[in-house]
Amino acid sequence: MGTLAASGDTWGISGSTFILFYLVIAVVVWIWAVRTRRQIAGARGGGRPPADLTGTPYDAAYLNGGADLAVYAALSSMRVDGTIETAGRGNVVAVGALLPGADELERAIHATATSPVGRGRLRYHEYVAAALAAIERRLTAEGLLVTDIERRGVRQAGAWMLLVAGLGLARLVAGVANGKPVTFLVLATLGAAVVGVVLMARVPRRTPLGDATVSAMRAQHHRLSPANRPDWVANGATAAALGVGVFGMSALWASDPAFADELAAQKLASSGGGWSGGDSGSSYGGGAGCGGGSSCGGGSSSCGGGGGCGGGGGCGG
Amino acid sequence: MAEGVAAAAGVAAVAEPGAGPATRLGTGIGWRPEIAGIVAELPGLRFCEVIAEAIDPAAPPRGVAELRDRGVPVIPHGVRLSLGSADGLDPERVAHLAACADALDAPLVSEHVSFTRVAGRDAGHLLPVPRTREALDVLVANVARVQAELDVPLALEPVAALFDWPGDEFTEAEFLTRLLDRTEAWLLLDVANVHANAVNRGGDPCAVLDGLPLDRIAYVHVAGGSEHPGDTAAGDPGVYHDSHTDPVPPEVFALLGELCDRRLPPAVMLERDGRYPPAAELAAELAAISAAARFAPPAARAAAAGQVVPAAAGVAPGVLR
Repeated sequence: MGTLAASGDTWGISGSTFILFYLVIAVVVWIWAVRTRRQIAGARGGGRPPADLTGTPYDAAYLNGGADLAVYAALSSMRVDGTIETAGRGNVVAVGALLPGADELERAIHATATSPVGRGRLRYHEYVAAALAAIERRLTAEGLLVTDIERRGVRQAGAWMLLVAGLGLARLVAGVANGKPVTFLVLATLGAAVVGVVLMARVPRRTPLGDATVSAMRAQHHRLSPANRPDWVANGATAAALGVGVFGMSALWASDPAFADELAAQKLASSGGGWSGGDSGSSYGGGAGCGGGSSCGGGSSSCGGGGGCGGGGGCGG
Repeated sequence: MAEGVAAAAGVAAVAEPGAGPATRLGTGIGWRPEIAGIVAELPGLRFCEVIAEAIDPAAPPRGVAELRDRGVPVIPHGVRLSLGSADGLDPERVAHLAACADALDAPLVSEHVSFTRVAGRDAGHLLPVPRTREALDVLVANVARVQAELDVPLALEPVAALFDWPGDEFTEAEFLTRLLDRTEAWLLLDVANVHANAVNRGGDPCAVLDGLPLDRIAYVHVAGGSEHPGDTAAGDPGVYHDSHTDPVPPEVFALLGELCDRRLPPAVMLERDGRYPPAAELAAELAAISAAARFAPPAARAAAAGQVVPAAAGVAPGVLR
């Protein structure tokens, strides 16, 4: 080792100096990136009290678990009202007439499902997609969801960490070519790459205000918690929508397992092509309970593989 | 005893002999998690009852704790003590019931005059106790043991049964009167059970009411059931099923009226355990119970078709706690 060190430092900087310098840069960029993403996500709505979405349960569902959960919440509510039925193989079909005060999403689903539609495909149909987009716009405007621009900003902050990994990689290549020991640098570069990938892949969908709103809604509507197995006939259709919206798919399984079962059959059949939304799913997993959570998880992991391991793959070299 | 009950300042307090109308409590409901949201919103809810075995005294359900904190009396209702078991009580279950009473600041607790355990095995059902001197001694001893652990009064509920044991030495009313006399326990009278027994075992439900010590009533259960017509040609008389999952039938309402003709009960509650109706229907049924038990003023009673009348508006809050 001593003889090798004497043969000249890579880039004119000794290995120990570089690794120290590198670690300091990596930690500083890391801290800066995390603070930046917090600032960006929390820029709007900071200091405001959580929103009360009781009157708009599908907004609560979208905030908690994305478009899929909003559709599930609407289907649960419409099932109680008797305006939607399962039609075998996980399809749903509209029945009867909507109640006069039906929500826009309910009307869109009802109009779309005049003939049986696969549950998983519903959200991509024109009317439903428009209703869901309207919900997303509302939530974004209220400072509960992160805007696309903000998301880009968050991702860019993460990209700086990958840049640090790139620097480590360059030094690594040079070092190996120089016949230098690179074990520490491999570890440091790998670490920077992993942090960079995670920061870029896991872009929050909800703002801190959105997170606080979800928590506050759960506390406010604790009586509809799946632990209580609330009776939806007694509590009514709105309670069903709120229960699924606020507590996720476990609420559907607790209160109407037969319906959940029939819908889940469709989910299994379509899970292959269902989620292509990439990282949009990553931050949604937590709240969505079993069903939504698992499909979202798939989304985030595939994204991690796509975006990151390109960078990560470099570590091996 | 009467003083002790008054000090407990709960539902039973209003059962003091000679109590005037101002000490009548009102209408309640059995709290069930499935309808927690509805129970919390019921206007004029004066008390509720929880199944003791469904409660962890260390962490009672949030909905129940909220009612307790709102000042709504919560009564733990045991279903598995098996007071009629000759081989004694399970000390853990007795301790659990007492712990529930403590945790919920309960004014009293209740259990059934039945046995659910035979030789250490759970029957999973409330079986009637044979009405013999021997069984009475067993019951009295077991009730005394429970009372010794409780800081609050105990009310006993006669069960609905499809059959009588052979060799009964007392009528049901005689048996219960003796039991209540010897234990100084209170009576939890289930008018639906009285109706079910009359249909299924024969006999006049009004005669049962006449024979019972109505001044010992702590509160009254009302529940729904369904009649399954038999086949008289085949010797099957049919059966009334005390299901708790159906609307309260007119006969049970009528029997509640008969009870009120004899003595106005301090408190009446609905037991509903499943196949819940929409909230408005449930509220209407409670309003009807409130009216039948004569808690609501006559003017309000007439308007009670769609909503719960704030029951017993004249109750002095001091009676509660």
